[in-house]
Amino acid sequence: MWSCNDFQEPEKVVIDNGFGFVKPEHFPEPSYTFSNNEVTKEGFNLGKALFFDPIFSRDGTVACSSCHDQTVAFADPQHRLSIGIEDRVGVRNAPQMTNLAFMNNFFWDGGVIHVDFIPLNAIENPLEMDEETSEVVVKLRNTETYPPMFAKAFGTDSVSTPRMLHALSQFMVMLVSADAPYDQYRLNKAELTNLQLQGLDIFEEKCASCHSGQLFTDQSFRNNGLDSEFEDLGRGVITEDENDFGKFRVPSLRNVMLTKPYMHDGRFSSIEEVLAHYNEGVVFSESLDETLKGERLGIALTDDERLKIAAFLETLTDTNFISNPTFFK
Amino acid sequence: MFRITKNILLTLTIIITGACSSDDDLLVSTDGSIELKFDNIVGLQTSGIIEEPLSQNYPFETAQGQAYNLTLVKYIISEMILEGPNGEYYADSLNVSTDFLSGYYLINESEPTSRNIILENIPAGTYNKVTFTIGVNEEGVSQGTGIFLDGMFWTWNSGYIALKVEGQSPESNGDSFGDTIEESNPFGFGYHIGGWGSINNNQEYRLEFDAVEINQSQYPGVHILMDVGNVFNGQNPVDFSITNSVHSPRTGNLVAKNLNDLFSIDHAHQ
Repeated sequence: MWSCNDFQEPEKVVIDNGFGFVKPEHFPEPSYTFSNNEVTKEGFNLGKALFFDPIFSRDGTVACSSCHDQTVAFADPQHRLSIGIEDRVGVRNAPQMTNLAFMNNFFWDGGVIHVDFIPLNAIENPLEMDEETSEVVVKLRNTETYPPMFAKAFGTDSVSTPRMLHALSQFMVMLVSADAPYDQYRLNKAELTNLQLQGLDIFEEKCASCHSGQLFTDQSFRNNGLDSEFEDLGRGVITEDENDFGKFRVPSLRNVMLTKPYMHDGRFSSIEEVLAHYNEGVVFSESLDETLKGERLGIALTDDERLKIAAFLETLTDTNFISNPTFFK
Repeated sequence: MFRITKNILLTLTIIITGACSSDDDLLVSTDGSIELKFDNIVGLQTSGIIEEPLSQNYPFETAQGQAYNLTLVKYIISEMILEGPNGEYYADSLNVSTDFLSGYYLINESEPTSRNIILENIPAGTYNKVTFTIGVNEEGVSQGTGIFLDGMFWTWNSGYIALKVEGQSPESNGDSFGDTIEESNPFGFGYHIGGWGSINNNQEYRLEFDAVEINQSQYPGVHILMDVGNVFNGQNPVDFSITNSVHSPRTGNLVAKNLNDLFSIDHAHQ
């Protein structure tokens, strides 16, 4: 009469409201923990409101969006180094914020290993927002607008640190850039020009050992020969290991034509300068990446090759992403 | 009539559970609870070990003969396991979500209720061993938000601080910091021990106690002593005039080597 199978849980009814995280078909599996923070429309909207709100900074002047602008793939559109409250000058260039759901570590030194923890670093850094996270929670509680938004997103109007961070994460993990001309080419939906294709070949030969895969980063830390002595220890700050001094996270090159200036300290203002650095500017230090050592330091690139690589990099600019109204304030 | 109904229900339960599970314990719940009490002490002083910040009273002395006081003692306990002589086994489940946390406990000497951990739903039996970890390992960190972010977390180097010990010593040269210590405090010290990655300062402890019975009607307690003084003694004795500010995994590693004998059993009672 009854078999054990009769005791299965009733299937959950999934309401498809057309909103949520979707992995692009040619992307790797996401690393984000959706298991304890599923994206909902309400959670995303709360996260978006928080992203644009300067309430996070101690004096109410700096929002996440101050240094992360959608028009340039959520990089900093104007400053070489991040500018915090009271015009305090940070030590590094604000990186772009795309495809975070697929990354294993964040910031130039990889000190943060989970999307949920990203905002804490910016909130509490004295050179950025210089605020205590617990204080932000108190300020949000005392607003009229946020408690009802928390209620919609989490079923309770009680503002807490985990709920606030999970809402911000829901916004951040949705920032998926996977619809550039390169992607359309990958998915056989469009062609690239001959120049771009030649650039892709050179890129794969000379750049893709570090800027690998669909994310255009292997997410490792490398010293790319910028300095012989290090003002900023980079990865070494986190590991406290001298083998890591002067190493920084290999950045994703998606939307790279939009995200100038380049390098952890924004020292190069154009892709041409970056390519010239790899060709002729690499300097030696103990932790210099093995791929840049050899008879001559760096990566030999002719003028023609540099031109073609730049033409290929243009195909990583995702205009649909930077103009997607889902992310507008 | 009542008895008959109850028996029918019981029989049905036997049929249903018996058909689908070999675990007879499901039939009648015999789970129980236990309370683990963490008493934070320094040597022979078993209570009142915390002084007000800026206090000039130095009741303690390191093995090196340096006087000091304590203004803060906080630590995270996780991964608790209970075991018994007949194969009894209970592992406290670890769970991190937006609104729910289990298996991670913050003990703050200044908040007495935080010092008692109650474990529930433990299979009935005899228990005489407890295993736990001070700190949060990768399993917890990789789950993202949810665990004691306020105050026990390094924002610049994601990870939980396993242990915070702060206080003052006349030997200290100041310029340290912490929850209770300002950089301007001329005698302050702050030891924040953390790190779960390439340098892992979290430590596992396994302690044995006189066997106790856990079941529906017996609710035993185990009193665990944490001798804060051991933080400064042991393998790498602390000299407050040299080391008074520890705020990273590598610098904490030397101090962490002192933590091997941090905990001991005072007694267990039925």
